[in-house]
Amino acid sequence: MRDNLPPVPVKYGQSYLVSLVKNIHWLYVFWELAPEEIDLVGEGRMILRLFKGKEPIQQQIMADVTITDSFGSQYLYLAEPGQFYQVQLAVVNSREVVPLLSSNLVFTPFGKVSDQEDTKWASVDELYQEYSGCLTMDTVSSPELSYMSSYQLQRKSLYQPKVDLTVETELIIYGKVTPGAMVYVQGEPITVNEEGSFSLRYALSDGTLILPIKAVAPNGMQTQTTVPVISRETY
Amino acid sequence: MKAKGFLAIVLHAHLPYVRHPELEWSLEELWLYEAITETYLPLLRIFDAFEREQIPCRLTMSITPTLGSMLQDQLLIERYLRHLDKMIDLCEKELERTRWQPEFYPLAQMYYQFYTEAKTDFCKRFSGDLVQAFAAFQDKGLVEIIASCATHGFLPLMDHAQAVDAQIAVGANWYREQFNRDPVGFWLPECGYALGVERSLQRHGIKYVITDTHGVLHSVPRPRYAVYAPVLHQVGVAFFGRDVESSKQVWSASEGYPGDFVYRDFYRDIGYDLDYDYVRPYLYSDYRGHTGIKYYRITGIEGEKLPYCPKVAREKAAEHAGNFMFNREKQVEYLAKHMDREPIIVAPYDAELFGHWWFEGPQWLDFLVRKIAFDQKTIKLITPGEYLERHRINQVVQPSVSSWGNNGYNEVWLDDSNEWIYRHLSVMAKEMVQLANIEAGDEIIKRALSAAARQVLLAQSSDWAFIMQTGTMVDYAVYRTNLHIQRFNLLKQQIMDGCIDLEFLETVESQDNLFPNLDYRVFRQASVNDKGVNHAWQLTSIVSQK
Repeated sequence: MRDNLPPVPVKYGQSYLVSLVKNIHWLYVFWELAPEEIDLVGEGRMILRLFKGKEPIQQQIMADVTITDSFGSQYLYLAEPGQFYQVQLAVVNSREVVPLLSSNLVFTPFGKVSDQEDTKWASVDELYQEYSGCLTMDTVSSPELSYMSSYQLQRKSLYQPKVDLTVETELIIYGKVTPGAMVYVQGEPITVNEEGSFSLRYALSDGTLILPIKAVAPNGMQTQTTVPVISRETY
Repeated sequence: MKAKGFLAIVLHAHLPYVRHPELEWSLEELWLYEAITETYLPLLRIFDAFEREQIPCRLTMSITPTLGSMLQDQLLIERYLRHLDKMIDLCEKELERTRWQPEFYPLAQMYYQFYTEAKTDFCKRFSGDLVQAFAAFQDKGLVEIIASCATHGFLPLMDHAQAVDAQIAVGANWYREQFNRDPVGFWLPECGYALGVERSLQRHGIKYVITDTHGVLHSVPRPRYAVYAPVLHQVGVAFFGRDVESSKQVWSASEGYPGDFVYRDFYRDIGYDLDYDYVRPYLYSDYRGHTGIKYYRITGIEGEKLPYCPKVAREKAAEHAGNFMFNREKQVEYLAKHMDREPIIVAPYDAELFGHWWFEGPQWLDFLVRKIAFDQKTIKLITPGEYLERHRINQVVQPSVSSWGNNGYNEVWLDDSNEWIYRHLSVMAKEMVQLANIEAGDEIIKRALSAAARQVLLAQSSDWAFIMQTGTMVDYAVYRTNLHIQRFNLLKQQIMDGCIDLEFLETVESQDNLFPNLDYRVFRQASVNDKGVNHAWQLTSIVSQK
């Protein structure tokens, strides 16, 4: 029976780009461009663009790695542990960078004992019921990971709206801290004015944004943390 | 006197699905026969003794669906009994051969009793169904059995959430069918955890999992009690972290108990030592291999090996059990002073370590449970599920991506020896999710779709990538991976063409016959909304001050 089986394909004739975490610092990426998309490359240079961050609007470009084949695999170095990463396969031409494929979003190991000491306590039942009560018929995406299909960038909507309407929201966070103190938002230091005031703006998309804000006293000994939790839903 | 802390011993019993009805003999099926004789039957015997003698025992055990399915497969049961008959025959020859060798004859008698007892216990005492035998001990309260993934797929390297969900769903469903209850705990294959896995666990009612030490220790925020209490993911699933000290004492190749010089040497087997023609009828290939009959003790790092002495080894097992217990007592006494609740020490091991790799392992476990029951009062045995019942309020954290593989992450299953498989597994999973949307118009299409789903699950077994990396039976692992890819692709093509080769379908169903009730729709996109996550966090704004 084995002789009648089709051989294991070398290529699948489909487009895909997949990222897999190997360890704290290495990401394994493999890809294939379908024949019809290879034409889109033209004379351009193909790259793997490594992004750090979860939301597209907040993602930082960490590296561009030139690739020469429309089919292959590569290990990419990840400088920072405990982060979301995503890879794009794009074509660079003289005018612009054109994304062709996006990989799934991955999260890497923290790699060390956390220096965050804030504790929240909850009961198993409380969390289980609260989470179960929110199950609805929707996408498969995990709350931490949004898996992007490699076709999403090219998919054309079949729905043609009669009126164009775009709404964006921004969140403004502002506060005051003891002059000389450091303030960290989501672990990253932010600018604090001389008198101790600070403000920052965040693009707010659908979903929940958790913003741990930690102040560290000038002597480095005392800390205080508050965690605003903001949700946006669109109906 | 109330115990100051708890010890949770977790035994993970797993073998990949290996069943070759198309062959007269299969070398790889020997893994199952050895494990039954050397691990699962001895474990059942000690549970039986604990029950009869009313020894307090609370152990935790996972039995993977692939192992459980093989244990209940009629062909493999017949072959196992055939294997035992061959071993008994070999033992009779050994009794004859060693009759005038006083240092080996008692050992030959030991093995003869070992194999004849295995046959009697398998057939009569445990009625030929070891899964139900373990289930009975669960019902009697000696052991908490936990579920695991369908085919031991390594979840952190699955890029499709639905593939993760299918592995957990099929595993949990198999558990329900076998044990008549919902699983409380779940063994993540290789303790492999990545973000998102918890959602599938929660969807299928799982209350706790076990990770390697750093899975909990590297959580954010920092766990207050390190690994000596569970932590909760915000979806409600608890994570228990492996304790380093108790692991090292058993697992360490250099310092662990199994390496003691008086214990039986695994590698000195008569399959290698005796004349080839003498042992050939009892080997599963033309190459020399293990028979299970071993006459020497480890003795030392180098030099000549001395004959094995069961009585001395047994005394050593008792001594090591006492030593392990003593160390846990001291550990708990120390921890209890620094914690405002009883600490739990979680000690997970592969079940096959006990009896197969470490021949005296079951004796050690037997002594340990008895000593804990009668020789001290500081620690008590507990299961993670029971600990959660006692302590339902726990710290909420995000556990770390981790595994118990070498170096702690995914590299055992992803390196240059095995990275090639993931392209195929990813495409298979994606295509199976697409196929799962088909509403099967007739029974044949439905069977073909379920057969395709079965091929995806079998290809995903982490064992193949592991074997490729360790370089042991690479050809077999490559063969199995390719076979399932090929079968899936052919089934997929036939489904898309609407033209199923019935003979091919029947062959595939009969050869890969696990999960006979598998419904391909388990690969349909899960229905989970992002809103649920972090919902608990919406309720409070957290302020803490140091």
